[in-house]
Amino acid sequence: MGPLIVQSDKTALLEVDHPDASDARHDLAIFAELERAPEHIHTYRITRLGLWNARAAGHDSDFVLQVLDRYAKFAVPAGVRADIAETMNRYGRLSIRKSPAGELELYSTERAILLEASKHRKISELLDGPISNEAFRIQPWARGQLKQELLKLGWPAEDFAGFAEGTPHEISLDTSDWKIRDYQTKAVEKFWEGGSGVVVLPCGAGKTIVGAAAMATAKTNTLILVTNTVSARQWKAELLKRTTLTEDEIGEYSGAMKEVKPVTIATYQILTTKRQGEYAHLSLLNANDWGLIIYDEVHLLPAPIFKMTADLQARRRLGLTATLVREDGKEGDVFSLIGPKRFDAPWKEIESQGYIAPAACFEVRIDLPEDERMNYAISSQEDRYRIAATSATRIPVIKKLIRRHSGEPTLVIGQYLDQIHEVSAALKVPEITGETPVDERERLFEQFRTGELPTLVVSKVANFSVDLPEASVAIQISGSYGSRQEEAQRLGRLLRPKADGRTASFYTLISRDTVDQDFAQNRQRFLAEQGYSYEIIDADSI
Amino acid sequence: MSELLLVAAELRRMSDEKLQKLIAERMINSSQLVDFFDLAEALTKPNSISAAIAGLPLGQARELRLLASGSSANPKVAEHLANQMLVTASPEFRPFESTLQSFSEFAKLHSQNLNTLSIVTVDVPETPSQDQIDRDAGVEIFETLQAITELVFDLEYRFVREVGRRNVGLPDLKRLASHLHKNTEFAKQIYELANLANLITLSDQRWQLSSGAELWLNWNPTQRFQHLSKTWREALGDSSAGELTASLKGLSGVVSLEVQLKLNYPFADGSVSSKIARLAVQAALIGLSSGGWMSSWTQMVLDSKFEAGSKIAVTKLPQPQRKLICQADLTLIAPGPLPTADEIMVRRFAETEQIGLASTYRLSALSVSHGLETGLAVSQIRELLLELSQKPLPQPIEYLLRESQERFGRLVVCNEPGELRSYVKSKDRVLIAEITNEAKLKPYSFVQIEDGSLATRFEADVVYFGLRELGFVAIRQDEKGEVISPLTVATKKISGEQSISVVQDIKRLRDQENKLGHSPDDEDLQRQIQLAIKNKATATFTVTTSVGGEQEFLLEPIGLANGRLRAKDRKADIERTLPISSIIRVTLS
Repeated sequence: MGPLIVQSDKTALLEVDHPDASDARHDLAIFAELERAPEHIHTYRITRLGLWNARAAGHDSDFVLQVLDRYAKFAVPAGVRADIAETMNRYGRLSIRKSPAGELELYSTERAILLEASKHRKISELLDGPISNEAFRIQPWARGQLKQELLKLGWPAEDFAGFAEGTPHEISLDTSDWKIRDYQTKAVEKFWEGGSGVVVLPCGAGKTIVGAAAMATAKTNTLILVTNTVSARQWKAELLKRTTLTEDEIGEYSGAMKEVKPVTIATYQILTTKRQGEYAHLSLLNANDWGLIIYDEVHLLPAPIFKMTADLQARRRLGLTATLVREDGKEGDVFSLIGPKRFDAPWKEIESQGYIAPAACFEVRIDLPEDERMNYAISSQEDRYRIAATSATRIPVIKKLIRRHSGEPTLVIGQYLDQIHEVSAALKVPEITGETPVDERERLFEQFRTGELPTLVVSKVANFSVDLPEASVAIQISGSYGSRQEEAQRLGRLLRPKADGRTASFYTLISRDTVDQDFAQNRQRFLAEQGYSYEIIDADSI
Repeated sequence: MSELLLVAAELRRMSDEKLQKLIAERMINSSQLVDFFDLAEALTKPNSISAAIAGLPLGQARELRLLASGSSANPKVAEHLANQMLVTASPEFRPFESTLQSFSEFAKLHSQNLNTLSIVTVDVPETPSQDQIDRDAGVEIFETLQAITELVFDLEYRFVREVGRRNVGLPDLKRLASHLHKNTEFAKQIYELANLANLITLSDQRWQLSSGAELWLNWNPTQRFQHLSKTWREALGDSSAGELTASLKGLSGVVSLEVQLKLNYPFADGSVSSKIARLAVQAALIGLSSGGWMSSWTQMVLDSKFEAGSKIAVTKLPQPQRKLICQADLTLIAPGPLPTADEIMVRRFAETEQIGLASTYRLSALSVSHGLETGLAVSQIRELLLELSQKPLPQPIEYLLRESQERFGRLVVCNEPGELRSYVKSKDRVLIAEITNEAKLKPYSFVQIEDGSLATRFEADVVYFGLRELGFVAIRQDEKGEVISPLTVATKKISGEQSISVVQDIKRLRDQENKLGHSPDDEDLQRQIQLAIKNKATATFTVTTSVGGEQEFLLEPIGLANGRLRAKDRKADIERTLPISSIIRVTLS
């Protein structure tokens, strides 16, 4: 019996301990997406997008069905077989190409399909009349939206119109004192083959290097969009360290400064800043002939940037993230506007290779005292999480945990400013919140990196893109309700491999019998799917 | 005499055996029928008649056309139509008025077929191998058996209300569908199939398990398949199966059931009310066909060789294996079907996340409490998990089991002897305060009786499910303080449901008839009167006079109000009002 169970909802469960699992994984990667990768069973999903990608790479439905039959433990359901054949047959019957006059056109030799698509209400607005029986002219700005709509209609277009080369700019990796990892090279290759798309790697696994390597492959003017100024500066420092780029070639476009250089790093915030109802810095997107646009933490991409991105389909786009989980459910928009997931590696696999630190996760259950429980019980639903998450009972537990990990760089991460102030005062350690000036933040982070400060109390500003390699303990005292990606990002702060190889410890404080417990369960889902398990401990036992 | 009364009269004259076949062929759920009027009403509904006509095989369809045009009949074939209550048999074979009306509708829709009533041409799709068909059908059977089991457990764990007329609410369908990895249409079909197979029933505006569900859980896959295929074959009917079998003779290679149904049932269309459309869907559900092609065992089912058929069919099902992966996130994954006994056991203490060839269950405080309520001990749960996983249990599972044991019975729903109210009790006064303050529980109008005790006018079952729905781990206790097992509650005899046996349902109808004939109680009496009003029928009313004698009136009832019957007496040309209490008998003309 094979290692794969194909379910009628087109998920495929792979038993990883099976001797054929490795081969099956290799073949599945061609057309299925890895959805969950816990310890024993990995879940793949056979999506339309995955099948169309496989088709684009020259594989047909017979190939896909043969792979499934080869590894299947039980008969592949008839509905799945039929659906795979039908779906793959729809790919490429429409295409986007450039006419000899340089205009974009939607082309098909099958008039019925072309008419079906062109008559669709949302698609007709993106077209500019027929050119012939076989082609319609595409509005110059509508390439991205058209692809998106055609995808929704179930007639994905093959895009032969190519990418703008961008202004050439020499960029190479400077590997004199480091070596690019295999999975990073593979990620860049997959991205480049696909033209545009998303690379998913765990926090601390070197996504910035993937970005730098993509830039070294493209050798063109590059725009990098990041979450905040601290992150922008880290990107700049990393590029200076890992590539041949010099200070003069890299510009920062943020609230603090507005430099446009061959490589420009801009924040999402500055791009979405409005003045008199208009996006004040939209021109940046066309300020330089960008040949590559990199979206860091693509799961956080704000809605207006999606819209702007729709107009940038002629440029290569690379999305980087650790968690392609959006609490707003807009993963589909990321796929259609940035591109499909091109590379993904299970967290535990990277951990086993020693590129990210092992981590132990703990859920610490705290009993609320009678008066706090009663206060919780008679409060409105809206107030309950806050009451549970900001209980005064947490401070002694935090102190105990810090004592338990004495000498280890520790982050105390919270959601509520009052609570952060309170904990910071109780522990007598500095805090970093959104109110902390950027320079002050950078100074405190630097002191933490050097070990001068053993503990920092931080708000959600430290959730992403902050590189704190030596942090090995995190105590999560409150969070954004049930956010799975926040949980993963917070654990991610600890995953840089430690010099002494020690295991990181990630604690989440939970008030027993409250909504806090329910939210925690939801928050842990993504990490559980990546193979992390939480040990439950009672606060009294610490 | 109205048609309803005519049909009821014909039904009374039918033998038990014929009634049994009629109920199966016309796909009537007999478990809720009270008397022959109920059955007559169900049979004369336009949808039911349309479905029956759409399900007529070619020979019977031709016969009905002849009868409709007043031509002489082939008595043997006409007898089949009479057995399906589409025509009356005495004094001569003649279609019922409602049959004629529905038939004329079909005539409009199928004018071409009706004129010729000859073999229609259909496109024959590309032929797969019989082995492929059987393999796919095996998966279909497996999924349907699992789906029905899931439905049984869903009704045990939850309160599923009837929505509209005999329907299921969308959220309930969606939940079932999501557990099954299927769409809501599939979930709906599973409800219909389970209902037809008398495994679930409607009672007190709630979908509940019938006593058949208990048998279902104890059956192995062979027995389950046998029950479903028998249900299907009975719904098809002997004469229909005979015609279909005859048409299959001489065919070689793989056979398209879809094509054969189209050829043999000229009125069958894709409409949901069509009996053949329903049977075709159900054939696919229970693996008698796959992609429209007949499985190897379908002919045996047509020949009523259920045991032989199921023996072959089950060889195509994925083989069970005793393996369960216990994960730290409290999920349990079965990477293949579990043996029935293990599966039933696991489902007692774990909720379903997804069911399929591989299934995922989840442990929670609620699910473990459910297991404990059914009488399991935590040690039994732990032992089973250890045995199936062959590994130490992840720490969070151990923690949950320990905590569940410690907290079991912290919140109790109960009744007090002789009281109509239900009570929610806990020694934890904060928990009681939380329940009192919970906005979603406001409709229960809880009243604090004493510290740690709330009262409500709602039934204990309703309160129990309501609390669990919001995550409160409640248990039910009887008047002696014993924990009530959800298993016994879910499979208790439901009011109105007498048995899953149609034979016993028919006996009940006969008993009711005898009862009506001699000493009708008030309820039956009013029911007869209402029937007469509804059908504008004349009836003979026997009333007691003030001197103790009896007097008969031939009346046309108009209405009931304030304990009196208002009716027209055509003979006397007056309107009479009779106290209902004085009416001792009603005989419908």
